[in-house]
Amino acid sequence: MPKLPLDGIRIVDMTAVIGAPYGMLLLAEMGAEVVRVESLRHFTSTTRGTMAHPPKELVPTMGPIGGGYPDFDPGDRPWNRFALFNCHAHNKYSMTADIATAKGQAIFKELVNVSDLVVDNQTNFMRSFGLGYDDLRRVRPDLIVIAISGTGAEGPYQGARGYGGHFENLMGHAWLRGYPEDHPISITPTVVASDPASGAALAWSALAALEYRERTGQGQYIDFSQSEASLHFLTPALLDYAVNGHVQGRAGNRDPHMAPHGVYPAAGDDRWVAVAVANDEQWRSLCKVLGRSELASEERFATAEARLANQDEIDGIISEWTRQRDMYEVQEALQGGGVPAHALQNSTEAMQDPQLLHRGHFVEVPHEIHGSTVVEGSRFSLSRTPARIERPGPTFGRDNQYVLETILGYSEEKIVDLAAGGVLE
Amino acid sequence: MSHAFEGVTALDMTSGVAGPFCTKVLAGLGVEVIKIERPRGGDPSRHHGPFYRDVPHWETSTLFLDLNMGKMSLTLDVGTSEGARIARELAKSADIVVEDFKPGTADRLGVGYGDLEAVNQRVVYTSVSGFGQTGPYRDYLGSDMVFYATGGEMCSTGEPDRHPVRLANYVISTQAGNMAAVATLMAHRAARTSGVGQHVDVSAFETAASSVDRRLQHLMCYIYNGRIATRADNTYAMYPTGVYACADGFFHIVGGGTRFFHRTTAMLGMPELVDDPRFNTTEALLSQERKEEFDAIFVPWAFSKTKAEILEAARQHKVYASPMLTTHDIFHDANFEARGFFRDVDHPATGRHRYPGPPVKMDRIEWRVAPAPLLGEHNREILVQRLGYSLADLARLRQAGVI
Repeated sequence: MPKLPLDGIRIVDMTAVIGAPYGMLLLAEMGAEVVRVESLRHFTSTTRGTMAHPPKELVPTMGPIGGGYPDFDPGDRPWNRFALFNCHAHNKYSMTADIATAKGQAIFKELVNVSDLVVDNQTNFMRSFGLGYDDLRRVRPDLIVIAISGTGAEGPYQGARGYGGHFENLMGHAWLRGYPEDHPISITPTVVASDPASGAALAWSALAALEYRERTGQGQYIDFSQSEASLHFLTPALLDYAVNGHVQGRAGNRDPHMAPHGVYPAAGDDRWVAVAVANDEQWRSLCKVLGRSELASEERFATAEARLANQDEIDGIISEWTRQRDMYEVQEALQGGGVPAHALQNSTEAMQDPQLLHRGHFVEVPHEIHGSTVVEGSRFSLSRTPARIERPGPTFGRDNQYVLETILGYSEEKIVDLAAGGVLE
Repeated sequence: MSHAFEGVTALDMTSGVAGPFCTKVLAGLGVEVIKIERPRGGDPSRHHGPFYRDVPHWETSTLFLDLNMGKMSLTLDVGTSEGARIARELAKSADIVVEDFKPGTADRLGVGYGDLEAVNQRVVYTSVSGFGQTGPYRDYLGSDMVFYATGGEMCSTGEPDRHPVRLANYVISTQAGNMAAVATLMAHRAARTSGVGQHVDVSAFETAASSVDRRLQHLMCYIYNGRIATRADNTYAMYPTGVYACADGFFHIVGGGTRFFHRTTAMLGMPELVDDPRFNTTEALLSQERKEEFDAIFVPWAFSKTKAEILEAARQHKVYASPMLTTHDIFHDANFEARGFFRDVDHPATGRHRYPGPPVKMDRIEWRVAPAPLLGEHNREILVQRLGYSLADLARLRQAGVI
């Protein structure tokens, strides 16, 4: 099998929650040995659970994030059964060490000494134990450290708390999305564009720093602000302000250049199809599919400007047609006729999606608790060095023996001592 | 300070949002990006607003100006046999090629992976598409919202009694480009050690599908317990949680429950509320009636504070709250200012303006900040100085519509 792009690279992973761990998944899939250093004594919420021991009777009420356990059962070790963790954790290693103890810090530094990168989104926490960049580069001068935060490790907002959704607010995304009426919608757990944006930027930052190190022998400190990394995603709105002084607001599902553009109700309960007509040719195609070719020649719909002005009417015409049909029927009819359209798919439908199945998107991996489990594979494909999913998400501390014995060369006695001293929890 | 990549060249045959965002990241990291644009009109995003002063012109589209910072522009009709030949010529010395033709088109034109690998086995060839180079949706037409609808969690985005709603601007397509940059640089790293390139296939649909915009997490949850996220799941009971109005706008807070309630009350300057009989049990902190009572206190407090004051108060008391900034706020934001995030860039057609600067702050690597090119600005440099064409050749090629 060919070497993967990040074969031979070891990364100490001190990331929590989901955005940064997602970036680490991109690195782990491509061959990096990503070693999570974890501790039940410092249980960062919403990483391996919103809490360490959720009461079993409450789990079904805890929403899609908090309640993500197999059959809603947290089990004896809920931190090994949490969906928000296991969805990003395959290929990663888990080592337990309490970095609040001197011995835990020693283990950490020895691991850093044989690693290429340290990535964290708990910088203040680590600095408080003498594990910040300045400390760690004394251990290994060419170390690359990526310190992730919502608004930057330095600056007036230093220490500002938030989940990914909060940084959506600070980068202006929240203001720009939602229904056009005056009240912006609440940040929903499903809508966190800055997390995936940051995860990807984290991955290419790591590649950039590795390239630089290979050329110069020097490490790097990266002050990674999620708001900055994802602000580029809002180009049109940002520059409309910078250059024209316009402050854009919420546009719902509409687009300034395209009409019709929106979601239309299909038959059944809460079923929708997204349709986006980009030009006059697609408009004519849409009319044909609807069996309303006469609309194509009407002046009030003939150009994009005209359609933009008469969107409400057009939306009504389309809805009347889609309402009577199954969403996939609508999708196929429109795509067949040359119109961009697709059904809105929920989880069940996504798992049966023919394109995702064709791409081998869902990968079965053996799991020590569940027998086997299905995870999502890589979202891009490399023809010669494709991603390999080799291990399921690690149970807590699963790889202690491997890290302590094989990587760090500790003796069996030393490991037993550390365990007895409570350092490995 | 130097750039991350030096001496690396990319040939860019993309247009619109996704492909150009990928090559924008490459250009920022120091890769020399040669952007190929069709001779008449160039990249279609040049004709997309918002325009400078709202006057449409192919050199003043702010969408184009931002997405194409730091690139060179060569006009070339790759649909002509001579145009394709010039592209293959350029590909011989390129480390990376990025294209976003409809799947199958690049092969038909003679600039597919097979054609370019034949002249340069090192080349990393990245294809960006809506749904992928193969598969039942290969020829589907897409669009930013459509990718979100089918790949992403659009079905659970929005309010329960209203239609699902999309994300802002073109974040889905931009993320596809962002992911393409990762994939390209991964393959480039492999090529550096092995001397052999490969074909990279990135699709907007798949990027949205396994994106951590909760799609990844919701699918895992579904696999575990069959739960399907709906728009109804988006409301919390643990007050105060949600969007609240303040003196000059709105903010969002996750400030309730046993974990956060005491921090919120401290922020209000009312720590005694934690022991108040109305709010001092776990059940009370989840109660809808008590929420209304608490709102009677919280809402007026919020109304008396500006967005900036709320952010500072939240920071001090470690409360998970942040104001919803508008683009105006962002350009005047103290934090972005202190970190020097925005950069002034000069452009011949639109003058000097502030643009978003480095997405990532690296202490030894400099992010390349340079304006977007004028249409065909580098024709002469590339065709004459690098490929050895004469000026007469250029006139002939222009006449024939090749450049």
